[in-house]
Amino acid sequence: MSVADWRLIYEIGCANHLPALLFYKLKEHRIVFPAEMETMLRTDYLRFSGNDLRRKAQLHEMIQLFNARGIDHILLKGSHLAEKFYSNSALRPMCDIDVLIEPSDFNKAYELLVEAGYISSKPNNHDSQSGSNKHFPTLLKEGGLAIELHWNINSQSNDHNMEPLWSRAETMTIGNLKTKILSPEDLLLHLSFHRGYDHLFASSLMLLNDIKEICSRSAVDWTKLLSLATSADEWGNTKCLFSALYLCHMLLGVNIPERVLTQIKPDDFDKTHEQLLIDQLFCRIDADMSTYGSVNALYKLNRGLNSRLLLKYLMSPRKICLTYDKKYSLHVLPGLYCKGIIEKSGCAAKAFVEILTNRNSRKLYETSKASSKIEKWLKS
Amino acid sequence: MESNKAYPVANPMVVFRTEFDDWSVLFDPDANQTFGMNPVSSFIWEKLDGKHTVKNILEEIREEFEEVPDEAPAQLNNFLSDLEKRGLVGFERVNQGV
Repeated sequence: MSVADWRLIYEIGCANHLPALLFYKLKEHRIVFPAEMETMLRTDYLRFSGNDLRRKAQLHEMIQLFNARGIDHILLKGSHLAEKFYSNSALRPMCDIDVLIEPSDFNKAYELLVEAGYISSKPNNHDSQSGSNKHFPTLLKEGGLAIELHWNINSQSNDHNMEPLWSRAETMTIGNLKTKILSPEDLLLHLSFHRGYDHLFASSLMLLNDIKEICSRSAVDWTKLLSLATSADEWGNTKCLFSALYLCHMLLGVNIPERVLTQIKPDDFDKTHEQLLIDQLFCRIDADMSTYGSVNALYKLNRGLNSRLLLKYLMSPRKICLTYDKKYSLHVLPGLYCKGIIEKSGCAAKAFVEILTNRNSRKLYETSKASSKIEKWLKS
Repeated sequence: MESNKAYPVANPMVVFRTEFDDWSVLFDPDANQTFGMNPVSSFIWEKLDGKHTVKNILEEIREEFEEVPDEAPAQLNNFLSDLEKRGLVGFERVNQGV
């Protein structure tokens, strides 16, 4: 392979937050690669390992605080995976610590974390539940990861009943601390749902590795998984799960029982969808999320205005107050809506000009187009 | 420069993680700082147990590694001084008697 090929692999690894895993695997399989690449990957690896040690200390502190005050909690996503399924937790980076709590425990948890030096990303709306991400506003601490306290983890519905999920949760010990984690079946569903529904599987190679680790280190009850995926009272979505398991099976050779894939395979799934999903895995959004959001909105506008889109951009009064972190009151609303419309119009105009003049923005528009196709399919 | 009679000791609060390829990472929770260390630095860190003098450590480096440069004593002292400045290492001095 040429240096350019190696550079491309490195870039894909970085886009998927995988340089540490890439370095580890190359070394494990004794694959010879350019010295320049080795220096870059080693530096990344050591940085990831250092961040992981910081995260462990932070997680330990958080669990200790919650346990001392009897706050029941379930570790989600990265922390759960790194602690339970990765033999080397440095290989599973994360950008925040996600925890599920009961909404009634929020004030207690918030006060504890504030006492420990955290501040809310939305101090005026710190207890707001109106966000679409099923979590309270993020809690931040200098030099540490953000903590997201979730009250729901079903991307499809705000009214999802979380009680059965709590009853299926398992206990785990980290160091000398007891904590809770999702059952392997709920974890698989949550991860595929989150990456599929919320991120449309864009740059989701890490998800495939997560599933590979889960399947190789725990006894997944496939019958239970199917029942939870198909039940409307539980996760009630099989497209995201199928897509994730199918990609894992096809690209990483993970042993997923044939009957599972057959049973949840969507009727309309074909080679086009397969290619769209693979493209999503490798798509690179070389822009900040605000620019990408504007380009995405333009693409959707171009396809025609619809009530769902208008509602999304006009936002509810409570949501616009949360967006600009203003305390909810009627007299601030006109100003906030004006501000929102001016800002969004400005972003859209800027994105429009960039699409016309800039090749990268045109590429972004095409990425958005492809994402929209898979979004339509996943959410139908 | 620290005396060769001094026994360097690693700060017990510092977390030392050996990686799969003999490199390692130090994490100082007080300063919330991390440091990547190559195999030689990692080897030295493991000798900072209060039982090795700087001279002992140098001898063990020469036994363990090939092509140890002539500047190794100075480099070792600089490395230990740097660690000391960062609060990662302290020195115990043993009374030699009167």
